[in-house]
Amino acid sequence: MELQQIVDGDEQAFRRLFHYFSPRLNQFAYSIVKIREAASEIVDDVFIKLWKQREKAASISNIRVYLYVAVKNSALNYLSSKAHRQITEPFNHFDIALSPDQAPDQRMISAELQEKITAAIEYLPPRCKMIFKLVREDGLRYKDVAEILNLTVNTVDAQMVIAVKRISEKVQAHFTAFPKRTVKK
Amino acid sequence: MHKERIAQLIARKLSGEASPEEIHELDMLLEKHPDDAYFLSILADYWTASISPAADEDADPEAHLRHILNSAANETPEAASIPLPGRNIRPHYVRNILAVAAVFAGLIFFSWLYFRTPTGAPALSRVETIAKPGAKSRLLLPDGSVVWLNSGSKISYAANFMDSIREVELEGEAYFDVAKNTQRPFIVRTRDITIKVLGTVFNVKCYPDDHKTEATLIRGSVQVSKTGDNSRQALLLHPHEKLVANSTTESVSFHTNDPSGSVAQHDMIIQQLKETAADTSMTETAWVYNKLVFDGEDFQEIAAEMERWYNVKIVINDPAVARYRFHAKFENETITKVLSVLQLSLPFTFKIDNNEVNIYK
Repeated sequence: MELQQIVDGDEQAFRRLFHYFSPRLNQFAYSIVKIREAASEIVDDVFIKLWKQREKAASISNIRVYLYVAVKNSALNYLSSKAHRQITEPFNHFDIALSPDQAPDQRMISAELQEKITAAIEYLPPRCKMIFKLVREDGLRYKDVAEILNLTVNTVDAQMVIAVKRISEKVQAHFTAFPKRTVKK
Repeated sequence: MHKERIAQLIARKLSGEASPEEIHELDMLLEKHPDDAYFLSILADYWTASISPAADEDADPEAHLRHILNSAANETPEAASIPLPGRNIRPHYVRNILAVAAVFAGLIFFSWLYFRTPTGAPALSRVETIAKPGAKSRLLLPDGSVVWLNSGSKISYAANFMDSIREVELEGEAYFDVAKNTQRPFIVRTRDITIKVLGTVFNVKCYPDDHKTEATLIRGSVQVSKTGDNSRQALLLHPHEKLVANSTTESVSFHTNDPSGSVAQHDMIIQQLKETAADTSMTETAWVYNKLVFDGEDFQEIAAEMERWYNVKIVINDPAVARYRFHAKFENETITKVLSVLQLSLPFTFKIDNNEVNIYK
């Protein structure tokens, strides 16, 4: 198992882990702190600590969840120290930044429609937006998102329903507004 | 409220959370609500769009990694002098990490299911997903098709999958729920056979150490031909038929009980499966539902299945025992439990030593 190799001090295994997770974790940290340098430092620190204390890593049951929780906690601590107060219920009132999508050059949907969808996601309630981001951008399972954000799987499921319904409303409105552009091709 | 349910099923499908039953339910609902079907195709397209890399993406990730390894090494003496790593410059932070590590310890078993290849040159690179022995994986392809990957299997597709034909390469076993797109056929290439579909549900099994490939159709229709042989006409498979292609004799076999079609081609056998069987109770697809089913296979074949399922090595030390045949069904059982139950029907003994299982008379 990969994690066992890291516990045993295998640098190659650690390298694979780093290359795989560090870009995603950087995006995740950035979505919270919104400063690139700070995000990068937070993620580096998490990997430095993991490598330093690799003998203890054997007790990690899900490395993916572990890394996201570690980054989330450090990012929130960073904001708390900057604001000189504790951030509680972090993603209920606290907005995050989404990653930009690539231009829809060879895609089925028009740039205009893509903008509509992005806007719908941008205006989701903060917690809902964070859940949607982790599921779609990071490809995390509901179970993992629930653990990372301290929620139940049912909450994640329900918030995803809200997100999809909001996007659906925007998309349907788009086609009602431009009836000539609908299904017919 | 169908809207609510459709939204829920769409979210679950796109995030890989939907079970095969839920995907079937969604298909049924979408047939009645074409607007929602159109919305799903739009959202699936949006969903799988690649995210732009961060503006200041790592120019030299290798140097970055060196920096991390060095920092970890340099800080070691300091940490070593203080027995509790919690007493660091940022105590909260370290304590949090340790707390998290402790909380998650032993909760779920290691679910680092797959490792995608890092995206390199965009033109010809392939995306590869591997389910390691002892683990299974679900993935969503860029076109919205869903694939369940069984233990010890590998699937790959070109990074430009969405541009032309949809083609994947498979080694091992996978269950496909292919998104309908009549313009762009979906092709599964394996060592022995190539399967061409338009939109359907089917299971393919082709582990490298098996000397055959099996394709079982659940819904829709598929065309099957021998990989690398375009001279012969492709065969059409109907729902609840299983095709068995034998690689050792260089032939493809369809099993069927239909007398007229039985020898469509001498080397092809189609097996007719029970029409009444629900998808969930078919031996061929039981693994998707986390069920381990033996349907009269011999112990040698069963051992190969269990090796992948439990990520162990199984050695059968008696030729007579290796020929035992079993009918049994298990759901979420340990290997010890499975072997103990098999012992009830035929006599053998076993010894489990770490990851090695020895079976004796």
